[in-house]
Amino acid sequence: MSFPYLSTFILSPFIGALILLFVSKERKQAIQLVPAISAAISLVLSITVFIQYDRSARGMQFVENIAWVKSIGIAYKVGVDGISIPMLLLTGIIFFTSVLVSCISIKKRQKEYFISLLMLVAGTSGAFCAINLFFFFFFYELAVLPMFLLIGIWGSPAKEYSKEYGAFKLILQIFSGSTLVLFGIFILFVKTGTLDMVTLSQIRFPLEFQKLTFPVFCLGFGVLAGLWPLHTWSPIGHATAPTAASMLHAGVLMKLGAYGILRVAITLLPSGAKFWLPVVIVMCSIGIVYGALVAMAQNDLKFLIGFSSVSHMGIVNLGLFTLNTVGINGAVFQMFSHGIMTALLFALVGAVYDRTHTRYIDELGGIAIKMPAVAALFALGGFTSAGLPGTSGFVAEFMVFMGAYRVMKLLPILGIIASAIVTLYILRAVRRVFFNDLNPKFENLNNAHPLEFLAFGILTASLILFGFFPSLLTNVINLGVAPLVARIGGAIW
Amino acid sequence: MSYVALLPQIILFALAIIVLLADAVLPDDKKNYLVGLSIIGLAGVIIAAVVLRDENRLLFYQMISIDSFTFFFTVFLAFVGILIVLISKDWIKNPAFLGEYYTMLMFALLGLTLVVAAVELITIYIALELTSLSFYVLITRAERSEKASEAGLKYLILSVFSTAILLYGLSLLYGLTGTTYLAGLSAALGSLTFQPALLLALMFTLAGFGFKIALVPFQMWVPDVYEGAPTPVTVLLATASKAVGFALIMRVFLGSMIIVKDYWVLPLAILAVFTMTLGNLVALAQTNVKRLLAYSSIAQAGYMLVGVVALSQKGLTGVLFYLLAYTITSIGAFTAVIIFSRQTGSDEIADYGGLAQRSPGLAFTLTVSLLSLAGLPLFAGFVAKFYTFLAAALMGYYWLVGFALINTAISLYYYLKIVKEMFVSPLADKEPIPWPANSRAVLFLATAGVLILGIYPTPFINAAQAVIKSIFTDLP
Repeated sequence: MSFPYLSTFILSPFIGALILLFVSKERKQAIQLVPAISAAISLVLSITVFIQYDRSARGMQFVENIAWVKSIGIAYKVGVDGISIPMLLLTGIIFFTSVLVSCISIKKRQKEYFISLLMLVAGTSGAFCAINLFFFFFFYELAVLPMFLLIGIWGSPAKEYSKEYGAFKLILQIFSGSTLVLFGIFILFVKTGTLDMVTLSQIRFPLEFQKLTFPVFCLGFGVLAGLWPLHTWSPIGHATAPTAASMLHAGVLMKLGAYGILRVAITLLPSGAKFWLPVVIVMCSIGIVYGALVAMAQNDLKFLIGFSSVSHMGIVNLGLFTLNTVGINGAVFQMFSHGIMTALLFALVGAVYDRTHTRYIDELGGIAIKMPAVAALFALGGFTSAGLPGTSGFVAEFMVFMGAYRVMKLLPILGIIASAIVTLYILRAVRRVFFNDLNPKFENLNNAHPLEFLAFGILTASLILFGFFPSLLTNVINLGVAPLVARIGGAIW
Repeated sequence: MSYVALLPQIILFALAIIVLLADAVLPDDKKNYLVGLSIIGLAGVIIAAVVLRDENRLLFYQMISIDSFTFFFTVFLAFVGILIVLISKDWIKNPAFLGEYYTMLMFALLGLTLVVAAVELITIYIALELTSLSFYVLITRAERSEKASEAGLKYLILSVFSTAILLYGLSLLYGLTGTTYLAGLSAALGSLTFQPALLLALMFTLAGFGFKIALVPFQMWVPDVYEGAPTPVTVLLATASKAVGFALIMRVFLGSMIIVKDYWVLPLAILAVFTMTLGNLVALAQTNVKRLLAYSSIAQAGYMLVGVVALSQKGLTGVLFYLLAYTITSIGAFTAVIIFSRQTGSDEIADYGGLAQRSPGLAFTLTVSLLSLAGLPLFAGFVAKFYTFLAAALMGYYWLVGFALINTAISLYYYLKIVKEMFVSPLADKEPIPWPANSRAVLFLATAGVLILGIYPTPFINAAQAVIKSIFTDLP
């Protein structure tokens, strides 16, 4: 048996958390070193898997399969294909950068903080690798819980919402969604007697069954994917969360919802997806425009990015529901690109907030003089968000709306509207936060810490790399999407 | 000699007497020996049970059955007993009370092990009475506070009342079938034409057993008694006594009344929904940890019933595993509560503020238990719920599973409320909380157990499955 890359990838944050549990809280350096090492291992492993994935062999690779509870089909089975690989890479990158950022920005109770952070990553890592529904769900729920502590302890109030409110709203809403998912998993098991996602993806379910079961999964995962109108936890959650938690949350966790929609809802129940297509497309479309419009009205930078995430996740979901090759490729690419881009934006806002103690656009002003690089990178992240050519955002949105065009000729107009609005509010935010006259309060502002710059650098480099060479990623994604689209093509109408 | 098969129960009985005599002999400063004595005795019970695990015979004119079901619960009860002995040591401050307390504890455990072994209605009744009387003494005599006396009296009156109803039900059953043997009952009920008295008999019997597992509407005693009783006794009531209630329902209803299932399954399923919903909704409003855990334990019984009414081997396997998971989790939760209240004298949730900084280990272990009760992954409760609900779904009980899942989502709020208090709220008091050695050992065992059952449940599920397969052969 070859080296268990995926298990190591999942266990690395787990073991990191376990070690931290027994490190005395006085040993500040060790507390930062353990998560950094575990994050570095994850990053290296995700890149290794990305490189070593055999493009010619396709399909599920790096598979490990251990029987767990035979009587109800539970097995510890992990593996990756073209769809999960970008997600692994995304997790690796954001995990590493968020640990870097946290070392600087988290001042109190670092030990507990990193334990929560590592558990969150362990959950998402596991969920992206698992191909048995039990373990998929196991990791999926595991990923959500630490957010409660991260927001509750290290968060900050936003607008009229206390951090406790944000934490409870997030956790209760997401768990209601996952309860639906669990119900769906039961339905599938009763129908087929297996929890293996590969086996399930080869079964053709009767049309009526698909029509009934699809909404269960779609709504369940939709909560985490920020599908309008189930998204309400997300902007508040983002705004009240500490920097690194927002990064992981918008960057990785919401992608997990979209991943669930693709992996479970669409892959297993393609006819159901086709049946509900009109409804979901409308929900996505409203989400795209609504998120952008509300973002425009925000004064709090985190709310601004939070609502723009709703809009961008709308684009992801729209891409998934085009159900054609180019659209789904674009959606997965957007998941990656948006993950990195939001993480970057949240990291930058966090860096500004840590030093100015405000996130309100009208209280900031002119700080580009003090933090020039931060200003430049924020602008770059903003352009990616608006989908400017040369950034990965452009490639992703272009593909999604090309796919959407095939479904309905008018849909790409949404993209144009959204891009226009995003450009408007991003430019306005950049001008008012970083330019204008320097607010005299910020005369003694420090620049960001080298570790933070390292994090910004890694994120920016990935944005540019995949913006100029999208084929690096799309070639892999397509290996996972092609068989899926073939299955959708053969689905019963 | 065939009575060797009864060795675990004989050891328990002997242990009770020896503890009683030793208590009379030992001077007050040597009473601690009783702890060691009790643990060695209970370990002996486990060893005897394990040695005799392949025994399969009926004793005392077919009134007692030594089989894998009895074996499972005997080991389970003895193990719970050891943990209770340990945490009681830290609870009972006056050493003069120890001997009496441990004696009654052994009698209670003896009663419980006899209940699970009994396959004849009158034997069941007698064993239940032995348990109830021991519990009555345990509740009132360990602490001798007003609250405990009130709890004891409540338990006594309601318990007597419920056993009276049970006795009425059992006598009706005897009148209808002419037998008190469970084995004969099944055949006799099969040839019976429907009559209202049968319905009455079933409902009365169910009410009697329902009292033990705190089935709504027989749950009224739970919050007051759980709150007033000394916490170790509360643990015993919430875990061992409840588990035995489930064992009874399995043996009697699923073992020998399956033939008239049309009369009791649907009512039981509906009561399960009421039980979990009422437990959860009232728990939402609680400000006292012990009362909150009491209502949560009512809700948990509702979830377990989901597996019972599935009427399948998988369902019952789920229930057995659920009982293990629930018991070990509850012991963890209550032990943490005991440690906290011994130091601070309070059970109010508000006083848990900032516990994570004051006593990180305690906060961590209590969180593990609470999250396990909430059914979150990594912890025992998750696997238990997954298995049990899935088993019910397999038998087509989608509506019931739906209710159970909605309830699970609701329950998360009140469990997290305590977690929030411990981790988020500001420090209530800076003074760290000392961990008495015995309680710490129990807490460690319970936390480890919760994690093991939650991550690698395979051997336990397989064991539970083997037990169910050998006893409930008629079920699908």
